[in-house]
Amino acid sequence: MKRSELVEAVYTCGSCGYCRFGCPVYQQVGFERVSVRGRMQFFKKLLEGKLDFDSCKDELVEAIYQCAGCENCTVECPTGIEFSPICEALREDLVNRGLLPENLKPVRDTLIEKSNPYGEARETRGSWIPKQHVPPKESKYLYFVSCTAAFSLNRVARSVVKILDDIGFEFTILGNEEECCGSPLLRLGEMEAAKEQINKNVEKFDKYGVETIFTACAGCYRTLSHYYPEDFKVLHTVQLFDKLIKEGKLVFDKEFPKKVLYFDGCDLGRHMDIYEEPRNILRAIPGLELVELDYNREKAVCCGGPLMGSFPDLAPNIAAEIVKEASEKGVELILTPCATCMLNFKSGAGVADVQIDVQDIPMFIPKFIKKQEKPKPPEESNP
Amino acid sequence: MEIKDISRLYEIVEKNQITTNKLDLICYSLDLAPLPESLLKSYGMISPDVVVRPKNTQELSQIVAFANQRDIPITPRGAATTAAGGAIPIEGGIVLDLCSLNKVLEFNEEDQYVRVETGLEFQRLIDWLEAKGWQLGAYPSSAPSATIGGYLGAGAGAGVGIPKYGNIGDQIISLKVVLADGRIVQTSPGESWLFIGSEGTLGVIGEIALRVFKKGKRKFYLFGFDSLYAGINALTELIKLRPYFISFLDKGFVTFLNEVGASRLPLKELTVPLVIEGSEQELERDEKKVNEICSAATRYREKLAIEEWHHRFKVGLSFKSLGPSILVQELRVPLVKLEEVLREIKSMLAEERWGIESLASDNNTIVLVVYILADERNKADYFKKFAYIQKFGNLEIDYNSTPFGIGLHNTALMPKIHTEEALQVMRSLKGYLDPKNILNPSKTTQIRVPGLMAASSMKMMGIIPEVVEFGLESASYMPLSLTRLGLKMMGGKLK
Repeated sequence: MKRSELVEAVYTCGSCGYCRFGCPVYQQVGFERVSVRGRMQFFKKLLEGKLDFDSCKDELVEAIYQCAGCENCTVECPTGIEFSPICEALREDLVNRGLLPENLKPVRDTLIEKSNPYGEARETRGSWIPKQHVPPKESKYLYFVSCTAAFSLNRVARSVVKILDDIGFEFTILGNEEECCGSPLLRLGEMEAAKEQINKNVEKFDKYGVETIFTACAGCYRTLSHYYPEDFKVLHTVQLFDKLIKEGKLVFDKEFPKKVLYFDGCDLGRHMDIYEEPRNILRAIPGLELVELDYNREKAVCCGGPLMGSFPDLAPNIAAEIVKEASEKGVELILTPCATCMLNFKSGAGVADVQIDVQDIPMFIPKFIKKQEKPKPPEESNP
Repeated sequence: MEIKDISRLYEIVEKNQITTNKLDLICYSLDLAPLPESLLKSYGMISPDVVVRPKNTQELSQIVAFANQRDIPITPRGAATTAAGGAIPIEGGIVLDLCSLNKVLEFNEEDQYVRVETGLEFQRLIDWLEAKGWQLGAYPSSAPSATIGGYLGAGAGAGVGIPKYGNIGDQIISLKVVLADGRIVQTSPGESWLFIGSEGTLGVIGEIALRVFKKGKRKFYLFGFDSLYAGINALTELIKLRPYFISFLDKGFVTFLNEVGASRLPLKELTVPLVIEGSEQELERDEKKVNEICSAATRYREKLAIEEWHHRFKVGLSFKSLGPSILVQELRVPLVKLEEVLREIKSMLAEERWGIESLASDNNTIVLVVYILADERNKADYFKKFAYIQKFGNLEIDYNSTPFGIGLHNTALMPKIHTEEALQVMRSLKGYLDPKNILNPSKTTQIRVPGLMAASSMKMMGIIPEVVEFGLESASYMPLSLTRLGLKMMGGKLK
């Protein structure tokens, strides 16, 4: 563990408590043990030997896992403490001591065994793929599908493929050869196991001569960008679509005269600083009225999605608050760049007892795309 | 507290509003200051038993009534962003975490007030009002964290808006206060002052009706002054224009900001951010005067001035990593004494790395926030620096000022600030309103100092820091009864 970083943060923290303002967990739980300043206070006692680890092991493990890693605290912190990487390092430390929480062990085992969190067979990962993209071929562009789009939300993957096929964009898909990107294992603190998945993916990227990887999953995008070798260019589909719109290759000609909220999922927003591209895409749809939450972009409050597995009672309640605000603003549709946000908002809408549609951007946009007169021949170079 | 008392609390509020989690009890034992554990122990501190987050004023009243009936100490707590120890539950018992009371209850545009619950953060209220074209007349520099009730309880004397609109206490239309026996009273404007600055020792503020103002146009400035004298003269004149925000950063402070990359300002004796606010005509009039007053100063680009305004809540802690501990002392000084006090501080802190940021306050006073870099891990050095805090206390009294918040650590200064008669009145008031002494006991008028040995060694602070450390350490190992005996001898309260 990067002990020095923790020590530095512990003594740098000024206990001002600004970290609580946009913390999804603190705002829901309400007690200081889940605020970053609170954690710094008891970590200091641990480091100074004034608190015995074993005397409050369960409480500590819970406090370390009860963080969505959304980095809202970092935006607010006057001293710029980055708690999310510290928290991951602490989790790694707990994992090395065999202290992964019991309820997360089956998740971990599934992730390692099946390379996806859904427990589906590896051999079925590519079964949704249209035949023109099977088997994988050499290509500069790779569509990295993600576990969620491959197993749970095929519609997202099919949309991405259809949009790009229609405009003659050349790319390949790894199919059954794709591994989980490693994000869920990283978030659990299972660094070694995550590295294995990362290495396997990198081997495949090299095998097919990939230079640019794009994905519709915000979690994969962040992981591919920050945890993989820098040899590959990584794009999120919102960046790709935004570029295609600007180049006139993607045109919307059908109206959607409704109020829509674009939700800044943390993996794309705070972690990757992408705020405008998704909004640009939605502004290109005629009639669509973009609504903003009171706190948006780098100040957006996380939906709590990353806690769905570990704290299933907590996550939907966090999302419910956002759904309520959206609904009060007359929003009929929430669009997210992230399947985790999407699933959690659906549960949140249930908790809030609010009728609101939630979709992922690739699922939403195909019906507004202007039909091409005739399929264009494949171009020399992709955007 | 007995187990049955905690069980009784579970009957008043829901399970998720109570915690006895060991980690929570650590967090709720502290405020902003990184106090050595030995110091708290030598105060005879008992760990709190339970933290409760009431959902509304009714629940708040029920909890207080119950505590009163069972003689359980109660420490009301906002965001705990002061360093005077006012939120430290020194006698254990119940910590009332009032951050759970964070709703806007009413907004009356016609009568220009907003009614809010006590634990609402200023930042949320500011954002909410400004989106509607309204603004607050006063708020603290810790707005992203500080709560409305906490600011009022702690004295509410400095911050943004005050030079123009005055102390927030004068903007209170009424308070709903829970008295020690659980009764809820609604105050009139004059009566509100009884509870403002009482740090939760006379009652617990539950709701606040607060004046709001139409948001005017704003103009942002940032000036640099080469001499202290010129800077202070300009500052004094600028405050007379009643700006919305005015502050100054001294050379040491800007050096710190530059060192951590939080700014890239030239090093001047004083750097003064200024925001004027009002109608077009008012701005035009004030603009002329500002230019006259600051004609000899360096005026920075407006972009920098706006940045300074946006960073106004963060600058004070942005360089904390340089310590990494910081000792902060707040002094309220009359403007006419400012130059003298600044020179005094300079000579006092000659051996240290320090910087000053100021906040405008009311009645021609200014609050100086002095930051001294320290490292709490180097105990001898840290205690030596602690001694300055005591010297600052005396400095304030010498210059006819008052400490900014009494809390726990400044109680010993009370006999120096007030006459014995005034103190007697305060104590009788406390005795009348809180006869069982359950509300934030050992604070403000109830003088409490660290244990006997620690206290005597504290007098040697600055001379032989090791002695202080020894005193504190030994005091922390003293049996509680002995510590309490020490307290009695030092004039502290003995339960």
